[in-house]
Amino acid sequence: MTSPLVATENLTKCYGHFTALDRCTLAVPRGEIFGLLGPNGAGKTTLLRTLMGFLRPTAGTATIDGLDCYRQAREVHARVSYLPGDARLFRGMDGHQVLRFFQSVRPDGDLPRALELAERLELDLSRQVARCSTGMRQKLALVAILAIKAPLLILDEPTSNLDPTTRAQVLHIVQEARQAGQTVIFSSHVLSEIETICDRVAVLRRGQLVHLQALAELKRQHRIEARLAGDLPPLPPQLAGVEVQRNGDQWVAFRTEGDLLPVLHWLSEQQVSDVRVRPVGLQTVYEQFHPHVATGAKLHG
Amino acid sequence: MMNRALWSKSFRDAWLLMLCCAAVLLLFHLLFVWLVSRMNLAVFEMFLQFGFKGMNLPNLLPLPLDLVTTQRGMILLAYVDPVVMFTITVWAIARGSDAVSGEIDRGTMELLAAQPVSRFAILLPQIGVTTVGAAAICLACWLGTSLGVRLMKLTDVPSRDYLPAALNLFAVTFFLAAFTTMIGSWQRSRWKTIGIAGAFCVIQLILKIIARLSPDLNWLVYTTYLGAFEPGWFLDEFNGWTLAWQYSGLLFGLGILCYSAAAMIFSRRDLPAPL
Repeated sequence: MTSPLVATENLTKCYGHFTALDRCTLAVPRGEIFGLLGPNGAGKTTLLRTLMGFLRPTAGTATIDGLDCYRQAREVHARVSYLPGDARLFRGMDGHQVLRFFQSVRPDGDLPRALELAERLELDLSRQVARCSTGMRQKLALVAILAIKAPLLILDEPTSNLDPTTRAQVLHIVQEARQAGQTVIFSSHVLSEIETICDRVAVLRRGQLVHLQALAELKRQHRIEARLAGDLPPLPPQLAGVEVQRNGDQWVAFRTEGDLLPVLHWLSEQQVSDVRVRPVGLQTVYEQFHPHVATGAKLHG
Repeated sequence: MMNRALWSKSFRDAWLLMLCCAAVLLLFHLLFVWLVSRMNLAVFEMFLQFGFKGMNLPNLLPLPLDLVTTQRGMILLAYVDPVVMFTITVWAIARGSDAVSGEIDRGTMELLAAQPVSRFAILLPQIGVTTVGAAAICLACWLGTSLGVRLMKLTDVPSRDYLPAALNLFAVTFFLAAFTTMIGSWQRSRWKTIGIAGAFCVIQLILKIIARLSPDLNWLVYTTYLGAFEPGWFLDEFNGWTLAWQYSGLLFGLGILCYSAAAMIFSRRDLPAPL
């Protein structure tokens, strides 16, 4: 078994008395798209910036490809292409100059690929950065970063400020990167994006990693909601693994992993007036940890 | 260490300001020589003798009294003129504050620091371009003087005499840029760096003025970097270069210390996210 490309062990970052990242332990294997979820201030960007060696950890360790992220930052950066959450480019340069700069500043830069991506995203490279809209600047930064063939892509909210068409194209390019063997850490507020492209997702809350979820596992999980006419009878032993939740007076929700038939069969024997079946989805998972925040429009994706 | 893309980016950031400063100072020195060539120095000598009677004039002047009334000495006054001081201060503080705090303030440090180069390699082109720019600006001062002397046909004024003054001007610019870079290396706001460096310059100037005006407080001259900026003392044919290297060497040494501190601070500090 190969070692994970990214690994953190009790990684902690404090600013005075404020703990921005609290004993975070995770491992990202090679070739995976790993999602990071959490509201503003949950510690996503602190985690990514610590991985980049921009911040010295208060405690714990962070390694990429076995290299210490802080002490061996230069070697780590040779393996990473990083898009910051608020990517600011050199205002005096035009698009061509920006791409040339980023492809020539590092040995694994690939200008023809950058130009090809720019064409795919219909980017006007002749315009000066200072005269570009926020969305165009984001697109330019994305092209500059995605063209680099580093083993690890770290993308902090890459689709913010992008129109839906470009957003879909960017997600497609990220998936292509995974197919080409690159590993991706993808931080976003948009649940649907994470659900679409990620293999696993970590949920952060107040600096702590509170949940790790494999998306394939989540896709197998369903939630069956039923309105019962009477009281809920005890579940038979064959439904022992099914999670039951009462919602209001008559509605009961059953959360099941895998086969739906045993629950549906059992329900058919009860006095049920209404049944709804839906996949559990990332939103349900997210709501467990961020019940108030999840009602925001952006988080519904 | 020698990342070509980073060097050309630093040069691209700096060339316009460098060109403007060099052009202004070249023209200013040319103009100054022209003005000196038109001055009646006999009248000026009388003015100095009687107009400031009773005052401690030699202490106030930036060059020996016997030189002030000569064309050779008068031309040297251009090197301590407020126009020159202001221009080199603008260059030094603008560049020094840009090196680290400027990039952090604009948010561009985030992408620069993510490249596979050491933080020192990010700082080095900034220092290199600032130093080369300072040298070019000071050379422009000397070229202005030299051109002026030739055009005004001042045969008894050898333009090479002003090279030690230009060297001292370069040294003071080098130190100020290094000091500003050091301040900026732990700041996140460029304006804060400019404010601190500007306040430092003003305080240092006040200290030098007090040291000059009050014989009792003459020791204050050792507390200001401007104590080592005395281009007026380097016209001496025999000791000129020796003195110039001593004074300038001190400023270069202090500058190298400041740059070393800046590199150390920048290499170890946390890089804050852009505001």
